[in-house]
Amino acid sequence: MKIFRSKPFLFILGIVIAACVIMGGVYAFGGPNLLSGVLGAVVTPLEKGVSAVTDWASNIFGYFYRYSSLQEENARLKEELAGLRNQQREYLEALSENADLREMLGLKQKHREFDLEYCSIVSATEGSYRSGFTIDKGSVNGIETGDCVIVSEGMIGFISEVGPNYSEVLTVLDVSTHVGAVLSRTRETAVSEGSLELLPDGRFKLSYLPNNADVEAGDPVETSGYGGLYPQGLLLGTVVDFLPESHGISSYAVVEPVVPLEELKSVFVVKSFEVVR
Amino acid sequence: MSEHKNDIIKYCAYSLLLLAVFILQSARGTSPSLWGLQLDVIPFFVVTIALFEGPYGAGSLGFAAGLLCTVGSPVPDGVLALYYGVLGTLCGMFALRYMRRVLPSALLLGLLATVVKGVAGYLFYYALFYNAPAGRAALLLLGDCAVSLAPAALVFFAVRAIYLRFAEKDEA
Repeated sequence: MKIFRSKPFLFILGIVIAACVIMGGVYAFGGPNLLSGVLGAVVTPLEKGVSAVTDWASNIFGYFYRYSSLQEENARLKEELAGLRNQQREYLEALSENADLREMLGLKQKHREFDLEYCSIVSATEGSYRSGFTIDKGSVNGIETGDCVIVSEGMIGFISEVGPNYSEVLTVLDVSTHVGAVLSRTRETAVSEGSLELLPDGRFKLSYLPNNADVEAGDPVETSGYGGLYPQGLLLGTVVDFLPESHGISSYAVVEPVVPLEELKSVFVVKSFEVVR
Repeated sequence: MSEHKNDIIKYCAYSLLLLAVFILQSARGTSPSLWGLQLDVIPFFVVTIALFEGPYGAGSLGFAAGLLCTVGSPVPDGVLALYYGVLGTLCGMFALRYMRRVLPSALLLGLLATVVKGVAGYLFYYALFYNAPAGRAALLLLGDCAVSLAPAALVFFAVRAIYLRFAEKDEA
């Protein structure tokens, strides 16, 4: 009985009670508690400052030591840009023809309107089993839990937690991420989800595909838009392989994300969207 | 009164060190990731405080460290605060009786704390919900411990420097 009245026991009991109050607050009210929000509001600008300094140092280093590789990359990108400009001309012609045809048929004009917020990545999520990062904007900027996170190439994740001036993002590689998807070529529906087995390779899986699905390496995968959670037609990645599940009832595709996620420095958050196809 | 004021300043110094360590460990550009392994020196910080300041200082700073670690972590708020708070208190009680204030003691306790945290996380979450393979989990845990050792030594020396600075002040 003496032990229950000892100072160390009462101290530990105090810690347990305080932690339970915090956990209970999160369970009752959702989202980060007041203390976490304040800490995040303090830490995020400091992390942003440190990231800015390391980016500056990395650019200086790159200028001196990676000049030749930067030259090669510049030449390659110029060639790619020329090809993309030709594609854009064809795209604009097709767009114009599409608009005319829609008008003839009396259909609503195809458009996609996104309300975007530009954000910088300030830190990576802790843990070898998770894939995510923290960005420098939060509820003050109109960001909400569940908002889609994209780059110019496509979707890379969603907002999992929002503080006043920071938000936590879980990427498409994370095990808790599930996104309704379709194969662009065949319109086969599936679910994109993270996998602990594929995470070390920087890939994720496209699950619930029939065993006889027409899937080829190189097939693009995009968001289906079903459920209205995420905009339709955002590129998620490219198929690398098509394999049967261990239970044999269905198969899955191994998908590579649109960009190498560890190289990202900034992203866009889609605060609201309207897609008409 | 002067001693009390010194203690406040000392714990402010520890808190600033904790903040600096956390930011350097987590910020993009300074958070090193070697072969998918991640650095985590917060457990080493808490046990080093336990070695030098005893159970109550370590428990308090451990609780604060746990709250700080929930920023940018998928772990629910309060869990890490509970873990580091209790860890700091228990390590402080153990260290007062059985351990000396030297680097190997800090590294040993820190490794133990990291392993316990990793095993608990694996058993109660990743194995339970995602069937994470045990072999890979063990390798990742050992790897994370290995890459954290060198920075943990730096943290030990920083905490010791703060402790000795204020111990000299108290003696004066």
